Amino acid sequence: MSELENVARTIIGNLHQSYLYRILSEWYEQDTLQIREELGIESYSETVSNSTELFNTVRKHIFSKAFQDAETIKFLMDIPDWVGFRIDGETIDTGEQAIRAAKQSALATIWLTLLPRVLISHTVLPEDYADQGIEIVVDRLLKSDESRKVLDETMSAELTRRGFGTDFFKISDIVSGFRIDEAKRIERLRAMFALVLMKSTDSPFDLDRVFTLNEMNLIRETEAYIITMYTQSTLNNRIKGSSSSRPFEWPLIGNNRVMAGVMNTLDVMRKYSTRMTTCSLFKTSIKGEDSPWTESEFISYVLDEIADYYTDLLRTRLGRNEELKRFIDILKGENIEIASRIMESSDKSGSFYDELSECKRRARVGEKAQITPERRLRVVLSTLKQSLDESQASVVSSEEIIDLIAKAFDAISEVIKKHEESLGNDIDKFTEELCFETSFRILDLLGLGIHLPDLPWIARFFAEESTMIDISSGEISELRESQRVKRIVYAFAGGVAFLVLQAR
Amino acid sequence: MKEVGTGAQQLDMQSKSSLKLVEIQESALPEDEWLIGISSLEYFNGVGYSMPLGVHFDGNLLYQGGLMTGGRMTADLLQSSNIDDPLKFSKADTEQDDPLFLGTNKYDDGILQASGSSSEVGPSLESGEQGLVYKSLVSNDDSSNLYAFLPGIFYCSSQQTSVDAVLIEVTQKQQFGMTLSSFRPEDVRALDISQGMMLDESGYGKSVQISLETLGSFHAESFLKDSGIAPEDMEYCREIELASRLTRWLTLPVLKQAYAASSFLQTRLMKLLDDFEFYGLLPRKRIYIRNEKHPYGTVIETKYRGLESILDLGTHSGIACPDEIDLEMQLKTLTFSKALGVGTETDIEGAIMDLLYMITEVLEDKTSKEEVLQKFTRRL
Repeated sequence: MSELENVARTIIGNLHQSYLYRILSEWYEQDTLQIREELGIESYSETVSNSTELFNTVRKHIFSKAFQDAETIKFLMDIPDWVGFRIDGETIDTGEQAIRAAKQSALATIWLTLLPRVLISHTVLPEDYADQGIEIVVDRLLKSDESRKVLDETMSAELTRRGFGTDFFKISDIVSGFRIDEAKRIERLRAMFALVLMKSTDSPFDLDRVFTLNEMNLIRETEAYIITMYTQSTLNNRIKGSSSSRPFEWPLIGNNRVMAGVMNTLDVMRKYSTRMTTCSLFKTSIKGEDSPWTESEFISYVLDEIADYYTDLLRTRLGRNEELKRFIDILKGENIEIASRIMESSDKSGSFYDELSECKRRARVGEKAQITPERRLRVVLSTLKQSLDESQASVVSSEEIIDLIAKAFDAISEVIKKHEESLGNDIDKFTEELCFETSFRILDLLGLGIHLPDLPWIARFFAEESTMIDISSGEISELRESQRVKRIVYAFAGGVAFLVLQAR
Repeated sequence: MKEVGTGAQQLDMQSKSSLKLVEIQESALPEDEWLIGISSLEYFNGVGYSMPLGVHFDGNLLYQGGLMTGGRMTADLLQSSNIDDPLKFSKADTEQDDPLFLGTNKYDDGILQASGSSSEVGPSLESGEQGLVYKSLVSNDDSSNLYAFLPGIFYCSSQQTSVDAVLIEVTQKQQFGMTLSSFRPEDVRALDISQGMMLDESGYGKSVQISLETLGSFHAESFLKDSGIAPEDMEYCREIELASRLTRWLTLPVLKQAYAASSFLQTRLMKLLDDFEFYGLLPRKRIYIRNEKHPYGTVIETKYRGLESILDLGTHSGIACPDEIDLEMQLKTLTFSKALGVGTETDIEGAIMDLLYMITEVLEDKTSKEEVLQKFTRRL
């Protein structure tokens, strides 16, 4: 059996796990008449005034049944156009043709988004990901019409044995109903395949830079996206555990074996994520220059992931638990110190577990994180950045963001308080400047940078209204003078909170 | 004589639309100084900057490492109107600290020529009494004299009086990696309001035309009271709580209307309007100035020689500060590039005269509170 046949068998063996596969087989069974009925398109006899419109309507309809988020649907709708394909009015002259072409193209697209997720079985260990034939599949998908035909045939042979028609898997149909200048076809189609595959791994990519890669690099790059995705989900699963064992279910904090698994996954993740040249993840950007994360930054990342898992646990299931809260604070606050100690050790996974045990011991005896206010501010900002990076910003609740904003500004108050003496007369100016800077970062992270010019009057408005409340309740006193820093900080906090909530 | 009518006709067309209520807010706190007035942000394309010579930034302006990085001034300066080379130090400046050069090289600096008197020109040390004054001023002057300048009739809250222009010396210093600047261009903005927002009896907000009656009609307090939450139950600081309540009722444009109708804005606007009604359109002969000598800002008396020379047919020109001769020396050397009217260069007096002329043209002697308010808050 050829290697490709092997992979095809794995893929088909894994299909049942995929929700998209169920959608695919449902649509595969539907003929054009049923699609018409479902969409409420009138009978055959009626001439289609605009077959292009019909073509798009059907594609969009199929996509919206398969994908929940609007952003993915928009991406899949637009991608042929981005790479240079145009809808071919001639081949989809009649309504019938338009619907058929739309169905073929949409199904092939869904297949393509589904493939990366079924290439590797759950039981495979991260260190073996490289030997699972991912490169072969990507190579066949990206290389040429001929190589895609080989893939179609191999997959169809497997699918036929399971009772599907030979036209169920026709990945080449992805541009059915589209046309492009023949000279550009091979290259643009390759870019489109690569982009859809990358998109389905959920890692963000820089579109323009993808276009500049040659065939070999594009295949390598796409493979890196897919393997990185697997390592990410394996890492998540290792932390989350399964129904039978939850290694990080507080008060559990993993064990040597679990940490060894985590570190192995991390090694593979590091190897492949650094190969992604078109992706902004796993990189530090200093003065516009990207450099891949170091090993200790990856360890920091795992520490963060573990801390996030405990935070979720605290919020969703445990309710108030002061000990766990302190534990999370120590993990987050001393993240860098812990990571660098783990790095220095010869037995990293063992030392990882020891560090977690030490944090837990300290949390139990009520020790607080050794953390300067400056660090706290940075931690809050990076937590905010992370929670916005990972899920799309719209998924994070307003409460959560407001909570982080409040924490960030509280940290500013602490920073100022700590340096009160050395700031002297500059204290007000410094406070305003730091508030403005922090506000800018927060608004920028949320894509609200354009509202920055409004911030000064909004902040002042909140300061004034708050003062009014003091005045009218008779609480105006010398206290206000000593509370200047706090009041400036709160004014900005209110302003930022308003702008953020307003955008939601 | 020239100064009074500098391009008066040419200014005319543009001036009508460019005059606005302008607010200079440098602190978020209501008790701090605020300046509000009628000015044109198009005259200088924002705020005018001048830096004739002897520029002296705090020596440790370079990044030294620290807790935070940030600060806005450096970037903003480059974008602002007429400061082409903000950090190009003149040759004379680098020699300024060397006592051996005193009194010799200084004559090349141009500051002496600008004084308009021939006696100081030339490398002569026997330049007479006035020359000695200049010399000592120049040699002692290692302070910065980059000034931000905004002409127009402004009301100053702490001095409780109105002025013809605002002049703020720009200095910068580093604190924990953050650049602190004595002046930030973004603190100056047009107070672009036409509608106010008030709550009716049932608690619903409605937009109303700004008028003397509707100013100050908005109070955010009711938004907190209605929620029935006691202060001790608040999860966050009051400002955030207020923000999260207001955002349920008001969009950003409506918040601006609420701001326009807030009682603090009412107080400051009314002071300005009272002042217009009282003084009319005569020059105030005062300017607001903040510099090293007056770090908290002060109002100083001025004379406009150009204006007076019409009356006494004299030949002197330029601003005079009877109480602060050294300041007068500094200010006389400042020139600014304007974006409105004829010519590109102007000085403090010229710009003040231009703005007074523009305001007179627009208000046409109608200086009652209602008329001024209406003029500058009505949507065109």
